[in-house]
Amino acid sequence: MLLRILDAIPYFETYLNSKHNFIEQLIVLSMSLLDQNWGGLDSNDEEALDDNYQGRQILTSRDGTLMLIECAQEMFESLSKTMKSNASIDDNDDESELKTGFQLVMRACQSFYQSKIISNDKDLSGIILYGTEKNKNTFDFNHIYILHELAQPSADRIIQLENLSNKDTYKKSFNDLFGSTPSKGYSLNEALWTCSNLFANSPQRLTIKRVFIFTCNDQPHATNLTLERQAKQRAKDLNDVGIQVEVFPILTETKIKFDYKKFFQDVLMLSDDELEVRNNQTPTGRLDELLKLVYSKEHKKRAYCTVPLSLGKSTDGTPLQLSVSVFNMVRPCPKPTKIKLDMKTNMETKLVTKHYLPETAEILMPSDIQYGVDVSNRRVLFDADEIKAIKKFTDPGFQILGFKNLSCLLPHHYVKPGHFIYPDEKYIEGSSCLFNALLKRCLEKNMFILCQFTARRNTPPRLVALIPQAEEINKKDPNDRLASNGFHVYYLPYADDMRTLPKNDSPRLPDDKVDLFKNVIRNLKFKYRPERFENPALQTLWRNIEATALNKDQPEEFTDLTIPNIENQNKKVAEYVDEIKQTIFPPDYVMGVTKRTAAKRKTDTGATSTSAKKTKADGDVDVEAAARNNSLTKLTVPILKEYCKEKNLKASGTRKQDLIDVIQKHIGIDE
Amino acid sequence: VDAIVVAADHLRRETEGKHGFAAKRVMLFSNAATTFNDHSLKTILDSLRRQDIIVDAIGPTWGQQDEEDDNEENNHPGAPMDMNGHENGDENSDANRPTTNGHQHRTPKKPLTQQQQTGIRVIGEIVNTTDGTLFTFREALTILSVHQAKLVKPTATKYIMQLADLKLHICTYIQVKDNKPAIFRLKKVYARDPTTEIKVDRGRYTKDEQDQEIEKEELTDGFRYGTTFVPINKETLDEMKYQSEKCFAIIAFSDANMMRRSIYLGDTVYEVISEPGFEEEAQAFAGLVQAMYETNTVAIVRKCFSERSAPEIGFLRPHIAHDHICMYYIKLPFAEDLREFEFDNLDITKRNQLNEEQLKCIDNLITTMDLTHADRGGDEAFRPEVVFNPYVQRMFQSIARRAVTPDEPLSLSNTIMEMNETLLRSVASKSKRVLNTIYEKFGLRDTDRRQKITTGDALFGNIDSSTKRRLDENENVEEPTADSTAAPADSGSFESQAAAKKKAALRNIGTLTPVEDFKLLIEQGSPSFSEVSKQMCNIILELVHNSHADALFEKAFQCLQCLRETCINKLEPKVFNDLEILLKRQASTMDGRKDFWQKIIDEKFSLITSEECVESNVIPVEANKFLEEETPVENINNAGTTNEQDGDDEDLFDLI
Repeated sequence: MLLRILDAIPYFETYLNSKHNFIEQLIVLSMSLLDQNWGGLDSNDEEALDDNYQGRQILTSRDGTLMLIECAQEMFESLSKTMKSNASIDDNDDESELKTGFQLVMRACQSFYQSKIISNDKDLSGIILYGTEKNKNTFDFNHIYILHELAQPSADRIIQLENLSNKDTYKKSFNDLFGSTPSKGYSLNEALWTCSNLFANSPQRLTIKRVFIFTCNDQPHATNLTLERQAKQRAKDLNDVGIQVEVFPILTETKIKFDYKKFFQDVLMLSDDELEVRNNQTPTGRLDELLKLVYSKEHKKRAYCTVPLSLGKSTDGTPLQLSVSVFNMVRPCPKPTKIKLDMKTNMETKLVTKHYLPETAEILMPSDIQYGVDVSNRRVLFDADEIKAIKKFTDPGFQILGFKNLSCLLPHHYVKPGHFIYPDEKYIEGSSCLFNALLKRCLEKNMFILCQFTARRNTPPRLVALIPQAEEINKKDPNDRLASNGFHVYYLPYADDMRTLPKNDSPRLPDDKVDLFKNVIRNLKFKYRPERFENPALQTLWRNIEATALNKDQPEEFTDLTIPNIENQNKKVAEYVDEIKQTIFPPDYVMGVTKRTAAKRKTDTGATSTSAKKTKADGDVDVEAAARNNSLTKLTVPILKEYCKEKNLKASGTRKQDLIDVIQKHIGIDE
Repeated sequence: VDAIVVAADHLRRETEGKHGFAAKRVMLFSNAATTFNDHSLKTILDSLRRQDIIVDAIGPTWGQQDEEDDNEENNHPGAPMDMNGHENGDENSDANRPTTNGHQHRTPKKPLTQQQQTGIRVIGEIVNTTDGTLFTFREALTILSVHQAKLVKPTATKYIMQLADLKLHICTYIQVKDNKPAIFRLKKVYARDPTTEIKVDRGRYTKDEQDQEIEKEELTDGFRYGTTFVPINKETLDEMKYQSEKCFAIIAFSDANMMRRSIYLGDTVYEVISEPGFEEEAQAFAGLVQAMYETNTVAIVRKCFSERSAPEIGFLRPHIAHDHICMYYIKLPFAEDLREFEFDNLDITKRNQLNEEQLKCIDNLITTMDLTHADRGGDEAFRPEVVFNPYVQRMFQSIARRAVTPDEPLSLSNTIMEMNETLLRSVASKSKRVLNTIYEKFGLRDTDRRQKITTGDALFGNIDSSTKRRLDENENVEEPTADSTAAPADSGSFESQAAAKKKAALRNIGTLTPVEDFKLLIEQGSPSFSEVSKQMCNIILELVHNSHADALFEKAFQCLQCLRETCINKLEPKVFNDLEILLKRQASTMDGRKDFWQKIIDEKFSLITSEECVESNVIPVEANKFLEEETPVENINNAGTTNEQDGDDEDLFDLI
């Protein structure tokens, strides 16, 4: 239906009118979209969503990116020197491979896809080539070929792009598919129109729409003023409907300079200052960014919830509240979820959970289910609603209990990752100002705010400390913000969460010996920054999935920085460590050896430990003797397990009886 | 004192021949004012000791513990001696816990009598000989009013800590972890026969129209790569897995001030001590802790529990007390776990810049609400060590209450507020004046947006299922799930999955096909009728509300009609009648709603009368009159209308 609307509108009208037309089309378009699902989704406007899901306004926020790539013959010339040297920084091995601009662009697209899959695989992207021999688009424009429609990236697409950048295959694949045209008459306007059409037809709502133009031509329509005017006008139209356009210049042996002023200043709507900056930039800077493979998940800045922060009630009973948005700044990055596939089709499957009665196999409805707990031989029952009610204490929000000195936070006061709050003016105007005042004063007095925090309607409250955080800027680089201002929400444990543990009152060392350790510390000190260490397990998994999907033999390499370099450490502190060894340990002492020898050592020196630490052989004898006496049940599970491990026995389960069964069987066979 | 003898005797008789009691304990409640016999004291003590009975005494005050003049607290002279044989091993004695205690402290001061002072001395003696503890009422109240979850026996996980060439045996213990008593994991049982536990069947089906079940053997693991499905079988996956050994290796040391609390990760604080039995290594360990303590450094550690688990990164902070030397281990984030959101500097906006007066009243607020020394005796108030989780308390209480009186509704008390009421009230009363000035100086203004939300949601509860899912765990809560007001998106919750086979999963009424949804839900019988009809009312109001001109009136009217019929059938006329009253009232206050009311009149859609339904108390004449009556005079002041309408909503909600 949408297509028909678009088709119906006379496209080849004069371009002076086209802007208005286009907007009209969009209005029609969005209305028809709304019409189609007005009932199901209620409405697409943020207001309504906001009302239903406080603080979770945005349902899906997908980005759309289209690569618009010129395929003129210049793109197949060898790259200019500057391009080469820059590009080869990232692709050392492929230096000889990426000879032409086209290959380079294809590689960039490939990296972009690969990075997208990790960072945000819901985002849509597509590739349009212009200046091709063949056509493939909805309007039958000449020389425009849609290589990839706007969609989520997939392995097939990446493999195809790899073919197009590979030095052995790219020429052939390219010529087979679309070929380059010698004609200069192709229109950038039409190409841009194709882009905006793809965006308009996207089934998903996109928050950010971008077009990346890759070209080696800084004045595409030098000879045809009409085409140039049309293209500029079209670019402006795109900008008006919120589509960002970006240009990535490709320099080759013949095209050494790319002057934005000639044409692209108007397309990108650059001011003269910006133009200046652009023309002085190395043309490869941003392209290199695209070429880089990034294995990192992208996080959309989105509030976890927006809740009131209540300071209390004034004398006439009016509550004094301000409104804050709660953000999660640190959370474990989820591993890619394992899914179950149907072996026959390799398609996804779904899980259906049914509750049934064990006797009759009757499927139950939720209303048939109650929740029970067994207490002193009696089953105590609750409804689902009652469980919910028990969990509900107060409406979501922060309730200030008071202020405390930061020194009240002890090292072990921690239960779970916290949040960050920042004022929100949408619900209560003036929040930022009061928030700012609280922040300033808490910082100055070294205080934190003690609050009771209820995150959601049915979450029990927790005590939290609001720790003030001033803005911190890296002194060396004013653009590097180390911390934003606001309060950290820090969960405090309850008394129930803290355990009483055995005391360790080993004797203290005298100061001169402690100094030895200080030397070690001094020489192994560094400045910790959390972004230094990547998660080895996660990175390995990502790379392996990628390698399997793209049929590669080897996953991309990964260096695990969390493994300490013992050799290096030794180099720095060996002398101190030796000194420690000499002063504290007996000469023949071997550190960190296994428990068994240690136990032996203990018995040798006649030291403590009467708890029967049996050597392995003893254990075996015991087990076997016990088995013969039918007294296996008296042995502990660890002993039985150890025995099974020793004799390579596999128990059918982990219960004690399973172990006993298998041991009895084993000994029976032995005899 | 005689009571002790009785109790001890009772205990002995009860426990004789039985094993498994970890400790014998007598709780002595006394104001120490009763007479006692000095001669028998020694005999009693001896026998108590022989039987290993511990005597804990609870009294109003034990002199030495409170204010020096011994008269800080008073007792009721006639307070009955109360005693209670209380065995420790019994976890389920929740029911006979003495929660409501008549002895209240903080009554007029009165010096202790001579008798009491001697009493205190004697009891002190008893308690000391038996290794018991003295508690004041106040302490005892906090201990006894609290349901203790099963004590967790600390278990050590052993590692070898490596630092360059040093290898030390260490033990880690869980020091702090969110306490979720296992008993709270409730079983799902069949409502009509609570002895039957419900079994769960999880089947895999193809994700297409055919809905074919797939056998386990025909499934393989896989991952999504963009839109491509990548099958990877279990063996390959294991091979691919990152290989690591069990380790606890110090990577380097860093300045302790760099460890911002905001980046702590994980759910546990571990205590790390040297493993007993390795004296020399223990010395080295102590040396390291001392050195770190004095240089104010922490150690960054790579820790891996076993070959099968993923390594993590964390840090060690030294801790030294007079009788304890250890380190605390807390997990730290990897680069991928950080989200580098940035927020503008608040001072940039002119509106946020503060004047002296504003800052001064915040200063005042901080001073009046400073809890650092706000508790009795100048102690820190609300120390995490003494604040108990209200949810855990309430859950235990509910279980106990339900066990004793199964038919009564639960009473839900026990908030942090209630548990610390006196303290809070004193802080709040002090801060009131300051809050007044803050209110004046900062000029906060509620935009009323939230008001609207809360009434709608709170009363019709139609977001329950989605919130519930969100609540499942705090981790990744913000991950986008298939949020949508439409009912079919609810397929994640187990209720709907059960119904999935039947047709579309339904729990809420959607605005797409409200009438059908409503009928189906009524047929299903779940959720309850009142729940479903509430939802329906909400939908109708919403439709009328959101309608452009009369676009949605037809639909709303169909809903209304359907609701009316159902109400008559179900003998629940009140639901419909209340709604109609509200619609009428709204018609007068809101533009355009009048048309809808007109439609109701045109269709002669009256209140449900007693003729139609016996439960109704509306007689036909009344009903007609109701329709004919003029709607109240229109409120011309538009600004006021929204608020008034909110008020009306609430009225209706009260009625429902």
